[in-house]
Amino acid sequence: MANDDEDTKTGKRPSSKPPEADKSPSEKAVKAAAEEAAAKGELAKAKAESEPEDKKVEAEVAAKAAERAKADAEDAKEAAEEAGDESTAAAAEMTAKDAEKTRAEALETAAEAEAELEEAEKKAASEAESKKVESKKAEKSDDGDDHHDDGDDEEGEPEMRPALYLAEYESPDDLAHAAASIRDAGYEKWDCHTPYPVHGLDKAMGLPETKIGFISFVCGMVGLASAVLMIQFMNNWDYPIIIGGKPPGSFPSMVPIMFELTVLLTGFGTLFGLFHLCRLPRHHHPIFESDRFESSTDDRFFISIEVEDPKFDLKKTRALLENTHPSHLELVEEEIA
Amino acid sequence: MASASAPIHELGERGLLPPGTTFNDITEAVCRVTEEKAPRGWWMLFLPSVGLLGLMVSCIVYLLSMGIGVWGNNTPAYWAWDITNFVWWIGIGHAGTLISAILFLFRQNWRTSINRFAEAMTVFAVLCAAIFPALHTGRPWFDYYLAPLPNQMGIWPNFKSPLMWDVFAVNTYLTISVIFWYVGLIPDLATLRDRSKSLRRKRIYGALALGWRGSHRHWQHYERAYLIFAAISTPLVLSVHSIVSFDFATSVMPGWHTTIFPPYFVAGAVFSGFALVLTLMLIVRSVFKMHSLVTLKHLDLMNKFMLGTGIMVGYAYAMEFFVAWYSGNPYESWVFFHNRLGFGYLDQEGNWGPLWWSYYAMVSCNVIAPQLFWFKKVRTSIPAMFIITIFINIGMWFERFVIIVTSLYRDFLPGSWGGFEATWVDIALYAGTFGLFFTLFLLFIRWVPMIAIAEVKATLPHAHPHHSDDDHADDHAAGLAEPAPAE
Repeated sequence: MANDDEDTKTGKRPSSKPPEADKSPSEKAVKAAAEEAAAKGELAKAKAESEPEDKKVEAEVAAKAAERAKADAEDAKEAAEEAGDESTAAAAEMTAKDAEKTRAEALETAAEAEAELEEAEKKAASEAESKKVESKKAEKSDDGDDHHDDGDDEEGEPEMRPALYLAEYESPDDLAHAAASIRDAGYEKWDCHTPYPVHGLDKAMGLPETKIGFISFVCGMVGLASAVLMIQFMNNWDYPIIIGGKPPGSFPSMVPIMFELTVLLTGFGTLFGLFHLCRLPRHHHPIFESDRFESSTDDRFFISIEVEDPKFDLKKTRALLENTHPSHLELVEEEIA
Repeated sequence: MASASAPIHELGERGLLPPGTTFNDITEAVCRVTEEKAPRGWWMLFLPSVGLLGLMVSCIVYLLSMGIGVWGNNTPAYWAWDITNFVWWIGIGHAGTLISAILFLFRQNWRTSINRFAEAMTVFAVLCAAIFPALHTGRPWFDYYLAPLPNQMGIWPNFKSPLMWDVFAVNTYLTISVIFWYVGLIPDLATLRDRSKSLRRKRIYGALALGWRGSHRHWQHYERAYLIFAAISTPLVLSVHSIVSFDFATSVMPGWHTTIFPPYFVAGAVFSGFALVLTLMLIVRSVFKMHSLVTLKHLDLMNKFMLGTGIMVGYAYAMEFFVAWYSGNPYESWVFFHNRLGFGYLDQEGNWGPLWWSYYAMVSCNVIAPQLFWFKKVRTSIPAMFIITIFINIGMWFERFVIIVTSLYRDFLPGSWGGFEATWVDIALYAGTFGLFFTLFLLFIRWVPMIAIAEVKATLPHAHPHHSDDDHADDHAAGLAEPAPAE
């Protein structure tokens, strides 16, 4: 042991013997590779809960890293054996075995992920099928044809269908860029969700001017007219009163109430115009199915693209959103009512 | 827009909030108040407030059962504490609208930390104000005569009366203030909904948030709607106190019949409103530890506002005296130099006007006290500003008392002169409205986000795209400016 210790110590010195010079770097490489492989394996496991596609890719990468780590370790072992350093060789062998194990695990995860992926695809296909059936049913019932197609799935699970893609971004900058690229791709039924109004998004989303000002103006004018008509009817026509020697329908004393009613009805018009344009109050929206969406009123920025969009395509839309580098991307599903 | 309002470092300007404040910091600081148990300070304020509210209710019951003779109002002083309190409370409300609407139009971003708070104050103050004229009609169960409804006598309201204008102005003001406040609250209620742990909270805040999901398509309409509300509230708030001043100015009473009243009343309203906002803000800030969101800079700016409006009010006081003297109208001069100044004219027995002290209380609180705000040391000293704002609140109450009572009690004919003394019901009812105000206010800060979360977030330096990295600003602008044609 003492000898070994001395050897390693001398090996680290610059004046050591040439054959032993590259031993310690290779040792380091072994450790680093093994660590990397382990980390990748961990990552793959962690990803197991997320998308099966991601999981598979991650697991495969981890397996490759583990393989490389194993090769490195074996190389190191050979080098160490040549140099006659038994303990390092043993350590390298151990690392190689560990790496092999990690690789096996990773491969297993990959296989699992692939199976899940296949299952998901099958499910999606069957869903699409059932959707088709449904739409056909709808057509048929439209035609007045009473064709009853009893549901073929008797499981208690609610049936889900994709509602929208939800991409999450960390900063308003990322969001604005992503929004511009989705605008340029020609989507229509999509939206940005931000905790506060982000300036410049109107342009980035290519939104037209809002029409709420028009609604407010019309309501305000209705208020003005109703004030004039009300006062003239009540104080001039129905029950004329002469106050302060002025004619019953005199204009100046009408001004304050004309103004107040204009403001009042403009206010109501703006409030209800806002509700109308936003389609609020709204009881439910599939976007709330996502747990991550809760941070959209705190500090995260989201883009949602809805299935109803004519350009929506499960794969293409996903690819488009992935290109905008979201920090998280998910397909939000809703129950089929 | 964001860059236009950014602090100019060369002038020594700094951001409103401490550097490094994140969006989440703001959400946490504001929302936790509604989520945690109430601090002891809250209960210490809430229980006496509910007690005072009980006092108000009992006073009203007593007043209704006995008639308004239990007030100190008498034959020359037909209007007294009731209308004084009405004008005072309405004036308090004006600061809220000023902060939320006028400062919004002027893009004063510092308003975002105090506007929600001030808007809530507006709503509650107008509610308190409305109690007094409603009771002052003598038979409040006939108050529906004020509405343009056909009544059993077959007559309609007289729309030439400034009191009728007042009914419309105050009701419109209350309605618009509530709407403006609620629209501003929607995104923040959604924040509370999304943070809710219990189902009950989630349901209540969820219902109030109307299904808000921060959609930018909504934000676009919302921002324009907010601008419209600000644009209509600005003339509205100026009109409300102008119309309140018409109640006086359209009469022929010396001391009331002046054209300076509308701007003078509006300036006074803003002055007193800022004072009460600041008084409350200082309390809430220390009870709920909001120091990072309401900074000394905010307080300093509010103090400057009070200095400015205080000078305007002082100018109006001086101008009234000048016009009383310069017009040569003996009754006008009598009201100002005898009823108010006291020693300018003496009555037959050689006495000063008996209510002279109220005028001196008004001037020392409203004109002299705020002059201390010329000094930055005073503007940034919390105890000093707390005391001065309380002086201003007292002074502004005296202003209305001076205008109303000292004009009425000794006017044209010495034979119809009288005096005025407040009764315990006057005092208790006024104190009771504080109970109503503070009860509502404390419930508000406990259950509703008291600082406009979304608006404060939008003022952070990194809140808007291509603001932090100026090098790439041009590329970004080019990328965002024009929508490229769809494929």
